[in-house]
Amino acid sequence: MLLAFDLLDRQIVDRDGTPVGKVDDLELTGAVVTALLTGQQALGRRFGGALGRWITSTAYRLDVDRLGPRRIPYDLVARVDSAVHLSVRVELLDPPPLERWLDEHLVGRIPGADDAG
Amino acid sequence: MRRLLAVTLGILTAVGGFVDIGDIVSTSEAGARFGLAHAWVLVVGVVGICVYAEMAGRVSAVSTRPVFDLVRERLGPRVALVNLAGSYLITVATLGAEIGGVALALQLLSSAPYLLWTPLVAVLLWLALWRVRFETLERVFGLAGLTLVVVLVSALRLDTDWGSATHVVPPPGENWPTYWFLAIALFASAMTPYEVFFFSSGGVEERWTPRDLTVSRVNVFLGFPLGGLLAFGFLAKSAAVFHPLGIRVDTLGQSVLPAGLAFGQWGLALAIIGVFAATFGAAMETGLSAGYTVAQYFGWAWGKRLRPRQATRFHLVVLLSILLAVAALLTTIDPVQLTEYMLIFSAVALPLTYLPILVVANDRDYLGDKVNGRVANVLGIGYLVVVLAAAVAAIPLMVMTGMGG
Amino acid sequence: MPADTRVSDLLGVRVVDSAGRRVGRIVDLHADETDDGPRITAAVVVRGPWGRLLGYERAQAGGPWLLETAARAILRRDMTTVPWSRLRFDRPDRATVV
Repeated sequence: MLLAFDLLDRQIVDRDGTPVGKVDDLELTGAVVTALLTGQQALGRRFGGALGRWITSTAYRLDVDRLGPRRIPYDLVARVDSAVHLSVRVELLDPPPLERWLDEHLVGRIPGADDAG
Repeated sequence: MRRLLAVTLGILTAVGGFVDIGDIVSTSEAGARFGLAHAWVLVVGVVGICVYAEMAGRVSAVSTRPVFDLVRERLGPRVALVNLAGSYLITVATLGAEIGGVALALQLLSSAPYLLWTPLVAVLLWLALWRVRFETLERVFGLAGLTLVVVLVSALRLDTDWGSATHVVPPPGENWPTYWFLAIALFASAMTPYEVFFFSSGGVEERWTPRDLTVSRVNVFLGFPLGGLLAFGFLAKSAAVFHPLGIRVDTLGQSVLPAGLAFGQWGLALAIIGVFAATFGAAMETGLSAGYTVAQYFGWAWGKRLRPRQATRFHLVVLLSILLAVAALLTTIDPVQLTEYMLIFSAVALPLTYLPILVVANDRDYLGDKVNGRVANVLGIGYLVVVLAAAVAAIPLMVMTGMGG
Repeated sequence: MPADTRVSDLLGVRVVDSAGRRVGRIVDLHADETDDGPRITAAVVVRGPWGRLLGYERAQAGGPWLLETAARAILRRDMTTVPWSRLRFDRPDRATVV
């Protein structure tokens, strides 16, 4: 397996195929990958430079509870093909802060937010 | 009937690429000024978009990965962000133009000025994207857009000089740079990137599996030629009516007029309904594509198959894109000209979209035995070269001709 | 290497040989699946300005002939694989092959 090619920038999907996030970075403990990191805080760090700092700081400001980038332990990865498939459903993971905020305050309040198209 | 309805995704995608408001006016303009001398460009465009939409459809049916997902994965976050910026600008500017186009069609029907219609159209569009099922949108507007066939039929009834299609020389009073500028504008809009974003994401929305490969192909090989044929209708009727008189066409009203000349009030009414459906369809295609690209770049949940609460960021991007488009329109900028400026951004967006599709369509990890054959590869590389050449030539031609003026 | 690193910290790191001569930059990492997770076994080091090579470093990537041939020629000339055990990270942005 090639870490950058097979994991970085791949789509993470839950056991039903619902998108969870991109693999924006990988956490290493020694030489072993222990977690997938996803979210714009992790992505910004990969960019570097002014743009990277802007992405990271914007994401940081949106992350009101200061949880840091979302961390998905590698144990939850079921298989890797054209996407990274998790063995759990997305509801079991912490929701991204912006998604939760929008659900509670804006998009989730519009009538019809519960109906699939 | 189900089978017939299964191809509406391709038709709607193609309508948004070939007969959206910018194309309706620019093909009409090309026809008025150069007769049928640009007909071959439409053929080249149809083949090009067929080649790449077929690959994109195949990749998303087999691997369930839509196009922008692959762009980020193969090109990395930085280069993909350049593509995202270019593609998003094209898509939102086109969205603005389409909202303006629907408003212009309503102005033709009601004589109330289009700027008054604009906010109403935007609200209607958002409601449709928020509430209506994907398949319903696709069927209603894909099929309604087909009423534009009346334009093609009117070109057949009018006195069109068909032989001039093989006579590729600018007529007296026109020059080669303007000819090529219009040719590149028509080609770039035939291959505009939001078509493959929309088509491949639509395949995922419809839950295509490898068994749907045939459905995908029928969509491509029926939908896009049909779109090209509708565009040819505008070119031909303009060549028949305006070219002999030496009249320049730059408004929507002039574009649909020949249908009235051929079939009277009914022809005109049908053409306006067709324009309304096609531009509204293109507005949906671009509105959704804006959300698809951003969400797929960041890996967010997206699409109408999910409950909106599950994909709040996607719906936020769609909403903000509509607002942005309306804000641009309310500056009273000409909605049709807005799309012409977007040619600049096609220069980065087109190669950076089609290269990853071509590479992934050859990857056995993704497609197994469904990888590209020789024909798809030869055409794919050929079109990549054409796209690059057009991208390089577009900007100097734009400056030289003052945007085809 | 510090205990809590990210893969992106390793990508782009300059690699030099024991005499200080430039070998290239790390563009990817080979890993084997273990019970704890993927364990890095080697670094893919590329000389020249190339970053991602569109996936052509893998055998599964196929034609179009023109692209594949060009990418593989670049890779043959410019790519080396260095076993992980032979890399020493003496500075955050530099590793030495021992």
